[in-house]
Amino acid sequence: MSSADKFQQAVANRHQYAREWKQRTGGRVAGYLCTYVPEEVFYAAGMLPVRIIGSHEPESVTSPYIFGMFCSHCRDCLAQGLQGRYDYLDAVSTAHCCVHSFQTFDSWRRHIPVEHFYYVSMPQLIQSRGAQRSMLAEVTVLKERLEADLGRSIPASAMEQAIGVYNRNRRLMRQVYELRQRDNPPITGAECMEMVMASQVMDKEEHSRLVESLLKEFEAAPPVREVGVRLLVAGQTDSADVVRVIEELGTTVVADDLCFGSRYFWNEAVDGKDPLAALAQRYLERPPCPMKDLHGVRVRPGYLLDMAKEYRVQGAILIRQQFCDPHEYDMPAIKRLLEENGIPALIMEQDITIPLGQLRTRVEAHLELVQQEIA
Amino acid sequence: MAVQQRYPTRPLECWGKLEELRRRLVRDTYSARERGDLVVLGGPGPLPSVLCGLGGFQLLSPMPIGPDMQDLRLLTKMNELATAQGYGNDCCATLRIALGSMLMDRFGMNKRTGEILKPDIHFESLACQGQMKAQQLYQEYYFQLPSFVVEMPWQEEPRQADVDYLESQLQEAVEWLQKTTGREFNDELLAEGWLNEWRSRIYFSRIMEYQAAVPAPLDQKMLASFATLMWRGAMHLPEIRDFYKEAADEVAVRAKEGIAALATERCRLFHEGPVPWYPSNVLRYFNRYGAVCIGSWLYCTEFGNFTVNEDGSWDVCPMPEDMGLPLKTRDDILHSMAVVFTRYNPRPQLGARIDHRVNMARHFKVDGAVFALDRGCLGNTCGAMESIVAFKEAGLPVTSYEGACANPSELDQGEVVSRIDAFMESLGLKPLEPGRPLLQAEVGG
Repeated sequence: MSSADKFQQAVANRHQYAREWKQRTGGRVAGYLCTYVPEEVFYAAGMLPVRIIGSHEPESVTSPYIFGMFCSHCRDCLAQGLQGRYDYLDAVSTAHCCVHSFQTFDSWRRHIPVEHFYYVSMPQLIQSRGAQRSMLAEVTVLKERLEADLGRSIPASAMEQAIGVYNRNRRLMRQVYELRQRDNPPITGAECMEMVMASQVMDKEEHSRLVESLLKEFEAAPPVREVGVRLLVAGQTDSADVVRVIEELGTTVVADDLCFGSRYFWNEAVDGKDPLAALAQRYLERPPCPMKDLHGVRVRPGYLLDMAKEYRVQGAILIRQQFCDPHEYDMPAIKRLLEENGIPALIMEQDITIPLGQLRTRVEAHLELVQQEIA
Repeated sequence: MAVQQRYPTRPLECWGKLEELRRRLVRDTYSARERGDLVVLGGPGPLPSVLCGLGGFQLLSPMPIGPDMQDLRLLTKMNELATAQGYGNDCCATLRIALGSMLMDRFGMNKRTGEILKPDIHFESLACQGQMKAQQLYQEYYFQLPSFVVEMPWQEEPRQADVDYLESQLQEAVEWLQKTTGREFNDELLAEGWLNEWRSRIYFSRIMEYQAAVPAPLDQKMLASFATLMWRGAMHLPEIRDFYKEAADEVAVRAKEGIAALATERCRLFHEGPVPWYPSNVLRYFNRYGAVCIGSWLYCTEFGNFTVNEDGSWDVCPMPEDMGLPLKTRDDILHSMAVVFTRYNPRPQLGARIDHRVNMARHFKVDGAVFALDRGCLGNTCGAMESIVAFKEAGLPVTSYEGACANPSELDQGEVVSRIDAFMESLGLKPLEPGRPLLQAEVGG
């Protein structure tokens, strides 16, 4: 089995993986909803942080708790919890981001028995002068609460080690992403997304070993594949199948801005005297999601244009979860800027279930536009 | 045949002054240039008094409280324009109207003269997700308008870190305001404005606290009218402070003497969630059953500063002189602002709002609750479904309807009326008088 296949398997069998990890190590598992949770703190405490992910199956269990016009991803995540699929979690955490993820967290807290809940009240105005101090206070509180709940201290050396493990994992995934800048990227967008999603549900050291194997496989014999149209995918989706369908239509997704993609791991925690301060800074400085890009002039459109140029993107697909208003507010501005720079962009909405036929038709139509632009 | 009890009722004596103040605030806004006032694009949320240090200013609020709200066809058009720009129905309904208004070159229009008032700067405190993102659209519309925003921290519980974060932002804001406007920042004016705002908020909180009395001295529509001065961002003005004191005193007398907002009160309701900004009879539709909407957690926390106890009673924020905080220097003033808006501001405590609602409902002796599930206000809809579950578990009858506070086309009148009628019937109430339509004008066309 190739490393890429192993990533896919890890995501598909994530619940089994976590249960086996618990059995094997006797450790505890912490689920988190938002990637602004400084999961290194859980890791330093000897826990396995895993991202809570939806299943894209029809559900009828969340409607008493979440208004129907809340984000489909968040409803899907809560449905997993209500259906008992995350019954192995010892803790659930999220960071202050959007009301959708907060609602999922709060409903989880109210209706699904879990020993501990941790809410990281992260600042939204990440560029403000007080943000660093505020975030440091949050990371410190998280660590202290974990210490109290686990009944043991988390020494600075454990924090430093966790940061080192995470940084290494991020560095390795960035190496993979850099290969996507090539004329013939050795990896597809779907495979890349599965690599990142696997890192969100696996032990980081084990995942890093797999990424190293992947890089070695590319060195030995890079896969040969028709590249077709080079695409950027941005917004929010937790489905590699969506990317796979897009790539079946004569394209390669060579870059992404997703919290199940580059936004999750792009920057490292820079070494410093205080590991908690380094962590706080890392989460403030990571590529922002729409809820952290709030000052008067948005930074995300320019950031995405730079990424598109760096990866020589020819078209873009902007995916948003149905009723995800933060992404909805950003997408017209992103689409406008990309198109002003000759990169046709398609905004697509995704619900809990994904009608792949409809998706295929819309992408095909968009690709016709992209081909005209290329010609 | 049972005789329906009737409470004494009478009009509010301060009502005339309220209307005059509202008219004056509008006149002042559109004559800003004559006095050399700074025109600030910004929401009326907390902290307009930060601007007081700059001297005269007028707030041009994106919140749709102007005459455009009266025209349902115009509203529908504005909503359509926002949709055409890519901002769908799940984006903040009120702020979609502001965007539509800008796209139609009507935003800031003096409806009497047709003159457009353009803002000099954008300054806003961000209290909800929709507002946080929507304010960027105004930046894009008013290209190169200098902008500064302050985040009101969301909290699980009041903490010192949140006080520090807000205080730090306020310090940064003052520096930015000075640098951007070139005006000298007057700390005495800042203190005066803030202390007025502080007092206005406390009087306003007390007004709402009196709603626990039976019969309710005010109904929710009266409360909404009182709040218009707050929505105008005028709570820092001495005459507004004085008005709220006068109003609080009058409402206290009404509560003590049993003067009712609705003479036939026999059922007390919370109407939770946003109420249509456009003219509607939603809040008073219940009156035909002898039911009165007395307030809600949302209304109380919009401009009230208090903490909620476990029994639902309140500890209203102390007056400045009773708080025990130094109030001499700029640092003192900004610190006290941060303290008031973190320690006595239940609104950002999203997780607590459900328990607050249930406890307050008991304390205010309500017989049930009606939830407006707003398709265009996800911030206020957060926790609504959980609140419904909690009300039911607490044995409090509850119903809900969907709509959008600034989009009349989202309100299905027939369905809402049917739901309300069925809810009233389930409470054992029969109509005392004929009903009126929910909307006062046709939509669309």
